Amino acid sequence: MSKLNIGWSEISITPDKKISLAGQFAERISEYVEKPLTATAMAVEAGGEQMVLVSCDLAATAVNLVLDVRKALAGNAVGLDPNKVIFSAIHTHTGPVYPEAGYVGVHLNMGHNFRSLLESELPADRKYIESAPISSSPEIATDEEVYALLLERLTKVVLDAWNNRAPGSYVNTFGRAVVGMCRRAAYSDGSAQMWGDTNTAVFEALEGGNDSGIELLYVFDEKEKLTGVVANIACPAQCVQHRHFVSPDYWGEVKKLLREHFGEEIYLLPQCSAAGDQCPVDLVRWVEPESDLDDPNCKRSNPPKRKADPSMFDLAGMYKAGKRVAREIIDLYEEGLDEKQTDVPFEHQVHSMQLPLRRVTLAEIAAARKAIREYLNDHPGDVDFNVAAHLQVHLGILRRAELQEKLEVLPTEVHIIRLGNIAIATNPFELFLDYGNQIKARSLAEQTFLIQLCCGSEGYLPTLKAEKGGHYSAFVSSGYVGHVGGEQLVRQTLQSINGLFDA
Amino acid sequence: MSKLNIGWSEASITPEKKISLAGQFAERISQYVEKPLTATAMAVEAGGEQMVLVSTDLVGVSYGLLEKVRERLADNTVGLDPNKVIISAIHTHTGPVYSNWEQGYIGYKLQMGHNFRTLLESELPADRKYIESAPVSDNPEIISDDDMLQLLIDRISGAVLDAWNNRAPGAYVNTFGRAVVGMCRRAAYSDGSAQMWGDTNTAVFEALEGGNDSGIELMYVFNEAGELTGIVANLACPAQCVQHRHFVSPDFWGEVKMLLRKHFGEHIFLMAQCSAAGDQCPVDLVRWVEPESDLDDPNCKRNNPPKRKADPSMFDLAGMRKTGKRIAREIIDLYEEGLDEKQTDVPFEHHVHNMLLPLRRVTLAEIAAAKKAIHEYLNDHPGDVDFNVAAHLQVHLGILRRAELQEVLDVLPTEVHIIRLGSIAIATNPFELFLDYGNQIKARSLAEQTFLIQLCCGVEGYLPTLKAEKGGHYSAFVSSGNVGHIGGEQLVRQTLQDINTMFSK
Repeated sequence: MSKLNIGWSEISITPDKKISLAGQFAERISEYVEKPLTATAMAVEAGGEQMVLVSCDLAATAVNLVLDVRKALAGNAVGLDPNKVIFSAIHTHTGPVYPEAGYVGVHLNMGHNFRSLLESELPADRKYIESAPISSSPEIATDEEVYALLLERLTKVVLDAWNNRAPGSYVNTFGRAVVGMCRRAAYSDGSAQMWGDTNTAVFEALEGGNDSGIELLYVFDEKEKLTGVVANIACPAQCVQHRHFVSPDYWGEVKKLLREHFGEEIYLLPQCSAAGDQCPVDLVRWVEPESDLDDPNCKRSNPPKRKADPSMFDLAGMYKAGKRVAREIIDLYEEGLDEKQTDVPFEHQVHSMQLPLRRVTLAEIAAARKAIREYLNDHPGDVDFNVAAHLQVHLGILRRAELQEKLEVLPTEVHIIRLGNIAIATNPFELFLDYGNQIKARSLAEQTFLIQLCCGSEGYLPTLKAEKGGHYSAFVSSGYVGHVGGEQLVRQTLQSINGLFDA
Repeated sequence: MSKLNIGWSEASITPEKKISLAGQFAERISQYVEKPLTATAMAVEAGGEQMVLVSTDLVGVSYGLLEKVRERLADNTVGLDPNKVIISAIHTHTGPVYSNWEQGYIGYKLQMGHNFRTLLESELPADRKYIESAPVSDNPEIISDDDMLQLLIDRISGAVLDAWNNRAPGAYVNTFGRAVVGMCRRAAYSDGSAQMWGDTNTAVFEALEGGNDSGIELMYVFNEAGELTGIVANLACPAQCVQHRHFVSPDFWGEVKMLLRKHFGEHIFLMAQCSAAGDQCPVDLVRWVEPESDLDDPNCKRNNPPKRKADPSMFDLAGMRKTGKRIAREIIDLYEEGLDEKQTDVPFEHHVHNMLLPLRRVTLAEIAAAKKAIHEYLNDHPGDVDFNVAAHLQVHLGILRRAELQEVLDVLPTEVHIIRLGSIAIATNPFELFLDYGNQIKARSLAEQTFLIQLCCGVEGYLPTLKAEKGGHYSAFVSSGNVGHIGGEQLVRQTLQDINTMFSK
């Protein structure tokens, strides 16, 4: 064991121009910058082992972007191993579109962008019409411009953090704040819906639970001055997810409040735990958004007014969520932390897990073809995001039908790290909470940080229960790996973690 | 509509002597008083309508206690309607046993209660006895069950009358907060089974069976001068942190009250209410933290569990204090941030229902299997018995008792209060009602805010969901409660129909 060297860096990833906002079916153009988007990196190195954690204010850090940044870092003269750089996204839906490709997009050129899939089904005389002019407006940064900016900035932030390494230490601790809640409602016939209406006689229960835990690392320099905080919460940054401005969502508010308290020099590395079925919205005490969201799943028919949190779809709710998190981080610090750690076991394994691709059946394929044909026949003329959203299941099934003939297992990048009595385990999915609970419950580590949407963006990974319930996030078209792969991921993750802690 | 008259009172219900502690299978005697137990009453009256909410630091309000308090209040000359007095329990497991404390309608009215010790003793031959794990019977150091019941009747009825007589013009603001308190206490496994306090550190663990609700429904109550007089706080978690311990305590609610009084002044009242939370507890089953000392509870035993960086043990005072602090901090912050306009001239309507909920039944096969299981167990384990045997045989004992009962009772008369106060609905039930039922009511209620109060005006056991019944184990066994999911659905429907009718006018 050797003493830790830790380095931080932060960089803006906010383009100067307006952006096409990623995350919804509808095209959106940013009207202003609520708070700038950043990427934050923390490099840790000791005794020949290393890791660089990078958190990005993006919807996803896709495989192509990760690989390109690593290529840019290759051949560096400072001893950094690009394969030990770990990129994750907070999943904000008020960040930029860029050309994304997952494993199948990069290696097989068979991505599943629903707009592209829909366009490939259209006859020549029918077009896809954007709901906002993202492809043609000179005011908006092009996808390629954004990509170039991300590539340049992410490369730099990693190198800066690495070069900023200096002797340091950390304290890991645990807190709680109410942030994530289950976003899938289950009904009396066994079906489920994301953002499902609970104000109905057929509503039975929220499909899953939630986890209020915050896994925390407070990081210090050699003089024992706080340099930054790693905060890991089971909730994607999706308060203002439908809105038309640039924002790191509730994490931006957390950072602002932490800096007000600790000083502007403090870094924040936000991480999202396994939270594929989580969101900041209470589906039971539904509070209407302050204005229309352009999302049919969130439309309600004359909902009763509720005395509850402010609308979590709007800034008031986002500020509240941010305040809850920041307050806990500050309070725990002020109450006093345990002893600082620096001379600790440190081991970083990089895995390529072979997870079975979720398949479609002959009947599903036939039904999908029929559904698409019938829909397009019954609805002549041009199409838009509503049609893409409506047909996503069927389009996804047809794409999967092709893909499953070429790919049996999805090579999935997973990092498993031991740092002292902490385990860190990553995955590139929007991993449902239950999987995370299984890992945390059985991990031999004193504390387990899970990072989802990490080193890739391979879609939702639902539970078997959710697959049976259906709907967005549990459709075959919602992700590449289903519950069989989910169980495999959990087992391999645990076996690796526990191997590190048994040693 | 008329302006509200509101009155508060609080009475100690802590006896001078030690107590036999209620709530676990094991007998326990209190060693000291961590904080005193109280009953708090809030009377609300306007335009001929009335209610008196009473919160008690007890594990439950038995049918007998409720009836006797109302008898004591009958013939009062101050216009109080005893049937509109609503008494609930925070479900602390560090409060007193009292005579027939666990008896609901069936035990009290039909003499067919299900005290597991009594049922077990009735199965024993004459030469075998039940041995208490602590000498709670005929122990002069401990207050007798009858004396404890008498104390409760005296003090609770006294608090009700005092609150009623203290009525004065007042107002309230209802608002909403959040604090992490309740978490699902049932773990579900890969074969579809479930267990309360189930071990999650196992390859067969699949998920927590249910969710949780961090919401706190709040009422801040004011006098005519606009001064805060008290707070009604309603959240989905029973007061079960230090539930195994051997001292007197109102559990986390006691901590909340202490902190609120430090901030607002010693005169402030706290009305603590537990929402639908039959499957909830303050313990994180995923990040299991070992209790500081043995709990005498086989369900909570773990085999060499890993040390966790998590909350302090929620089975101990450190955890209880943390929980209390989380709640109190939210209540204080919301007040200090500024509240909405005070309400006083509001619609006020109080319906008292006698809902007839189908009794959960057992089958012929279950009865035969239960008889066999009891018989075999007692043969294989000769000698005297204790709480462990009662716990072990509870399912079977409960099945036999239900077999008798279902021949004489088809539906359980269930007291339910539905109240409209302004934009708030209050709906009570005498069960440990699983969270999902509460969510269904809250999601479909036309009220702006719905306060549910479980373990209210009776103790009719757990009311599990169908999913939980299939999963089984304590809280979902037939022996765990008198009403199952069919009755649960009926309760939800009738509750909603009445609430929504009041709010549709």
